[in-house]
Amino acid sequence: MKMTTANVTFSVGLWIGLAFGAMAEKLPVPNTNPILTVSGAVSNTNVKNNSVFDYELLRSLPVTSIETGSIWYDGTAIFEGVSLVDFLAEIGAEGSVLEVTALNEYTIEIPVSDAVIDGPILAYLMNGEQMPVRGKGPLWIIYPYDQNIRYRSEVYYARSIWQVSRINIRD
Amino acid sequence: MGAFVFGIVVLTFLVVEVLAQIEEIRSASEDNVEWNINQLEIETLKLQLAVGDYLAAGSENTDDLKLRFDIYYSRIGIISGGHMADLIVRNGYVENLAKIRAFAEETAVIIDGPTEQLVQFLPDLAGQLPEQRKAARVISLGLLSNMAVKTDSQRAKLGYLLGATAITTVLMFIVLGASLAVIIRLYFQSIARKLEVDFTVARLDATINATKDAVLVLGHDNCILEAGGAFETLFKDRKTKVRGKPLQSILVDRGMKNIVLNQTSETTQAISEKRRTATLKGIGRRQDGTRFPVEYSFQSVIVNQTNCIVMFITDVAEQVQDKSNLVEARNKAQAAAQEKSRFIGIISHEMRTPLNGVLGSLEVIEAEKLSNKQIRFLGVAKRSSTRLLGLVEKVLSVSQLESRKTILKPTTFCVNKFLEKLKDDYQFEAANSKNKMEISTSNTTNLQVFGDTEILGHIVGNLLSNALKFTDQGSIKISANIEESSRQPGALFLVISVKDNGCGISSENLDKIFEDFVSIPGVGGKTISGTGLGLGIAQRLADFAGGWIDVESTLNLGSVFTLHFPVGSRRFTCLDTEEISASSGHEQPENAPLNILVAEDDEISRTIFEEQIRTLGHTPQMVVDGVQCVQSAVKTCFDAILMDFSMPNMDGLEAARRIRASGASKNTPIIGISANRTDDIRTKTRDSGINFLLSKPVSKNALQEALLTISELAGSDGTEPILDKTVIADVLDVLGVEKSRQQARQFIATTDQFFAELDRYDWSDSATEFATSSHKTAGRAALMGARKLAEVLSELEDRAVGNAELPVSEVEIQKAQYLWLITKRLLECEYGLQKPAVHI
Repeated sequence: MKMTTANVTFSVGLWIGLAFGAMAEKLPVPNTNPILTVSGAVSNTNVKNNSVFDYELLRSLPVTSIETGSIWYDGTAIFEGVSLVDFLAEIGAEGSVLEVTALNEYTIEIPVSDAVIDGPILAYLMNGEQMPVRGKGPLWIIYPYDQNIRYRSEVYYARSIWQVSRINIRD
Repeated sequence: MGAFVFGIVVLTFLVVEVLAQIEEIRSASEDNVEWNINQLEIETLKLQLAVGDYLAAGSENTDDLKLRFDIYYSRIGIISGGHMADLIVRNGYVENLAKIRAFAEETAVIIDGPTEQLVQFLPDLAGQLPEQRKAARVISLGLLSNMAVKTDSQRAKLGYLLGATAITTVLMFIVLGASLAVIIRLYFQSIARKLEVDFTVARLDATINATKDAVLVLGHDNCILEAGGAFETLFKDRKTKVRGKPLQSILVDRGMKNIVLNQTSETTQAISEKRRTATLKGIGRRQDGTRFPVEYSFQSVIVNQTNCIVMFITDVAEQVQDKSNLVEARNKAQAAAQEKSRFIGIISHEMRTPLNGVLGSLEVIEAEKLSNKQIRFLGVAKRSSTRLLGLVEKVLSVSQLESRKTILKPTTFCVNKFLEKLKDDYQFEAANSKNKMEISTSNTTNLQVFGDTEILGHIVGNLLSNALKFTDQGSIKISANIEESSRQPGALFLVISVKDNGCGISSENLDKIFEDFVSIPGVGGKTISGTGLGLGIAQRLADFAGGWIDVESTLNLGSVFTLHFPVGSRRFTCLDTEEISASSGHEQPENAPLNILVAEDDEISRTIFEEQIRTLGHTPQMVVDGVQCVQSAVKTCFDAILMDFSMPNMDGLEAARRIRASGASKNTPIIGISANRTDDIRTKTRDSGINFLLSKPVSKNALQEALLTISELAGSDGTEPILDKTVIADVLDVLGVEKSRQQARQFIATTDQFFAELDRYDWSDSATEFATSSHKTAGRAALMGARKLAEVLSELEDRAVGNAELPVSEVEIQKAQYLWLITKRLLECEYGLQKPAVHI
């Protein structure tokens, strides 16, 4: 995972902000087509108790990148996105489980404890390009497989959900 | 050990494999292919539904449809990539996959194209989708079974690996366990060994400490390294103080000299081996200067490569004292015994001489013409005197036998004649006790044998007398037989048994009857006269002669006493007395009267001898002492000399010596008459050259026997000539007169030596030596023509060699010696060394 100084500072700032109970910046309503809707135990909502994101909005969040190989393609690829930990902080998630659903109705549960630094990211760029639906886009939860052997297991492969469209946070 | 290393190698290999497998399984290298293929089918269906919905609803919005297709397309993309595609291809579904992919690509083009075209295509699409779905399903199902197989095999492989690992581990544990067991056992063994060693050391310590000997360890220079055992008790000194001191400070040999122990272990070993049974005596010295006798032994040992000597010292002061006490006591006892012997000798001489006078006189009177009354009373007197003599002799013979003074004087006699005479002697007693006597002999007893008739007569007479005493109106059977000894081949025993049907002897008394002064009362409690010595003497006599007496008895039925008496092995058939008188010249004194020189100082005895000799038909020449005897003997060659031992001026022994030294009668047989029968008489007799020994009182019979023997061997013709004249002639011929004489002289000298040495040997020890020298002498004798001597000596040699345990009997040796005397004389004659003195 590439850690730029800016990212670090921002993440830390966010965490500190969160730790002191300071609310994150209020989430703006997206302008373009929403690609991700987060429901459930979220506090930073923008549309009807949900946190709705479009592409731009997601891109405005702190960026984390992972370079890794995986079982779905040969060689390695660079993924850029927002780390789950940042994301959850942004939306003010207060649950323990993320129910993540894909466009094809595939649903998986990811525990909030997975959201750690050097953990999974919600990737929207693969090798610098947006991912079409046919290419497992628009969003793919990617774990740093190469960096951590723990993530190279069935469970985590199952959690590496692509074509992410909805997240529901619950206890 | 090897198994262990091998085990480790195998285990390592297995573990590596297992870990790799685990690794393989753990980091799942494949996504769930089945899920993806299933999903493909589902997404194909969903697309199918979406198309159907769109066509049915007639909607304008194709977004949902496109989305559905995108999802469908991306799924195909997934299964076409990487491992999944490989898997599908590997399992043989490459065509199906290609078909699906081709369709997806084609359709993608249309989807991405203008909407109108898409709408137009939709029905077609709807038609094709089921087929795609089927294709997907085929792959799915196929993969399912294949994957199952693979997974199973993977599980099996892992299972096998784990199993192998487990087994190897178990085996390793077993090996380890075994090693551990071995180690434990070794450990316990070493503990046990240590205990053993400790125990041995403790025991050794105890042994050393318990011994009443002093134990020393000596180093080089005979220096004392250690002292232990009873050292402190013996030497009254601390053992620590004696370390480093030389051996001689505490021990020297009996000559007060230092004991030198050779330090070389081999030599010391050799010495100590040799000396092991010998006790080394020395003198121990204490610190305070006192000395005490010791015995010591030593052994060399090697301790840490140095030679040491271990020595044991025993205090023998007490033993030495005990020994000297015993020796003193023994000497005293011996002195007492000698004193007693001397006393007996004096008494016997004193008593015999007058008895000799009485008996002799009576014999002389008997020869005269007498009246009936005189004959009767003469008989009484004679019997009484005989009885008196008998009683005295019995008492004395016991002590004589005790002090081994009896000498065997064997003669040749006829068994039947002997038994007849015996019966005659006891006729009177038999009549008195109203018993019948009968003699039964077999043919074998009609023989002449060589033995001491006097002793034989004593024994059998005693047995007979007892039988008569204890039988009342019964019968006594005397039987005789000659048997060969099983122990001594060639030796003969005259077996005489006296059987009576008297009162018998109870079994508890059977042993007692042989004891001195024991008389068992007879039938009806009647006391039996007698000293109670009879059987005791008889047994002693039998034993002395080399035989024994057996007894069997049943109370009230009778007894059988059996005597086994050794006799010489010459056998002749007995001839009747008359025949003997008529035929063989050397049996009959009448045919060959001998000139006999008689030396006797006692007048009465002299008279009697004279009378006896004349009666026997020989010519006596009387002298009164040794001096006269020698004088006469030197001047004249006599056929025999009768020599009393105790005479004034010169006693019989001295006279005999002188006669043998030189003179005419140098080789004349000398009959010694002695009242004593001491042990050393025998040696003295031989040394002085006396050939026969008779004891006073000398009966006519005894004299006759002696003279008969002399006559017998004096004749050089007869059935067995003493010399082989042809051999002698040959010798003279070959060597010539001078050389022959030389040879003869040498032979005589060496054979004299042989017979002289005979006396000195205890034959039970030196049977082989005797055999060897006898053999040599026999050989020489044969060469010189002394055939008889050679025969006799050969026979003796055989006997000595054949049964080395049993000595050649006294009897045989006396015989041989006398034979030699005769032979010598004859040889001297033949070879012209001496004028012959015997008239044949």
